[in-house]
Amino acid sequence: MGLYRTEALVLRSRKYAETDSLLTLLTQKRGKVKAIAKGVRKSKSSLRGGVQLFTHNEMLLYEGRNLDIVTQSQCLEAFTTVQDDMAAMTAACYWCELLDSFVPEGEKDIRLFMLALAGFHILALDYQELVMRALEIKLLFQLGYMPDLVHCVSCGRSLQGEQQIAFSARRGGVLCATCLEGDALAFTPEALKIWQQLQQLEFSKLKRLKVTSSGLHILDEVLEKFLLVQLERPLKSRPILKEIWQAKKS
Amino acid sequence: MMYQYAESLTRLIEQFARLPGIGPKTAQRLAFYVLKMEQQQVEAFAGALVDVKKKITTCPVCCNLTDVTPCRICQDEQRAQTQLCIVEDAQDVIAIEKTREYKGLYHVLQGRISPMDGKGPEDLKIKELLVRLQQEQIKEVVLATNPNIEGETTALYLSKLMKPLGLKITRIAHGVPVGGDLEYADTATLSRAISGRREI
Ligand SMILES: [Zn+2]
Ligand SMILES: [Zn+2]
Repeated sequence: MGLYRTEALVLRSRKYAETDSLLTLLTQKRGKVKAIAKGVRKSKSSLRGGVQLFTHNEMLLYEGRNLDIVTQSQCLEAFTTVQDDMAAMTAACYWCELLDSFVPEGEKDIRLFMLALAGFHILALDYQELVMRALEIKLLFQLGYMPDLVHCVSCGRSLQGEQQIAFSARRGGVLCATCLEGDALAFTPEALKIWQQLQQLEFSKLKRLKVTSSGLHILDEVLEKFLLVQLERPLKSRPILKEIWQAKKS
Repeated sequence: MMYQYAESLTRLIEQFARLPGIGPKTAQRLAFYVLKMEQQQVEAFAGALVDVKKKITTCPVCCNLTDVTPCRICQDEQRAQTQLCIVEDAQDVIAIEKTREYKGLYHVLQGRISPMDGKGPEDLKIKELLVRLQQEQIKEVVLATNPNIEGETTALYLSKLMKPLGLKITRIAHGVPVGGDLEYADTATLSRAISGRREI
């Protein structure tokens, strides 16, 4: 019990009681935390500027029994580009939903916090599809959800250099041609390579990555299914982001 | 066997608990309150519930809630037929009507673009809006969605969609609220307020 000071990203904000907001925060010191910000829906609230969605703040929180309470907050950075761009806003929503869905409550993880923050900085870039795939893959990697991309998950043999491969989201990895199962997804050496590169590459080098649209499409389908199997429910904003990208292209 | 409430009482508690913002404890308290109410009062309450569901429908023109078709606003020829104010919900129509500042027509989107709740443009009454813009004599559109991230994005989306139609498109002014302190305003509000400044 008591007060603690931490940097925090606001992932989610819901109305709570008459004038309060219930926030989902990703904090540097305590991992994912649920906290109440009192009175912030009143226009005179002095806390209001430091508890908005998609912002990075320095907060002073009081540890409560169920929910913590935001007692002070200063906004360090607001990712305002997001509000002028429909695709960026949707991407930010998706990044928040992804973090909120996969990150367990109350586990401190500095590297995860850095990844989350970096995500907000880069999600408005114009090669957004590649950025979002990279964020998904890096998040899965950071949290230890790693499919086997080297050995067939059924017979165990190495698939290095193999052309005919498939992906099983249920079994969590690649399949060889002999072990192909009914619910396996199409997968290609190119898509596999993009996955590995996105996992390793720094964000600053993403732009230089050469990918075909079919490689990206296959990776998208595989990731969508893999996320679904791990989470056991679909992510709400993922199809909307796709819808927005589709509308942009046409 | 464990003692439980009579079946009808349990059923009422369950019904209350389905309402938004009502937990099991509150549901129980409300159900017991109903038990203490006068017979007449209970019947009036139940009647009101059934009535509202039976009589209130969506206006086929503006998508607002109504008990006549089309709704009273759409029927009112005194209103400016060239102005259309776009709002998120039926409550917003009431809020704007209270100001007595606006005399045109409305279009209710029945929501906002809210990816985290799985709501995209497809889930709003946008097709209905586009039909109106083609068929009616609308010349000015006022975007009156809420001044938060979701409302702003919805407004942005609609303004891009309507741009080729050559209408006058305006966004309701908002910024630092009266009584609000610049120091405490959030960055998004402040940047809107600065870009939307006017000469005095
Ligand atoms: Zn095999
Ligand atoms: Zn109407």
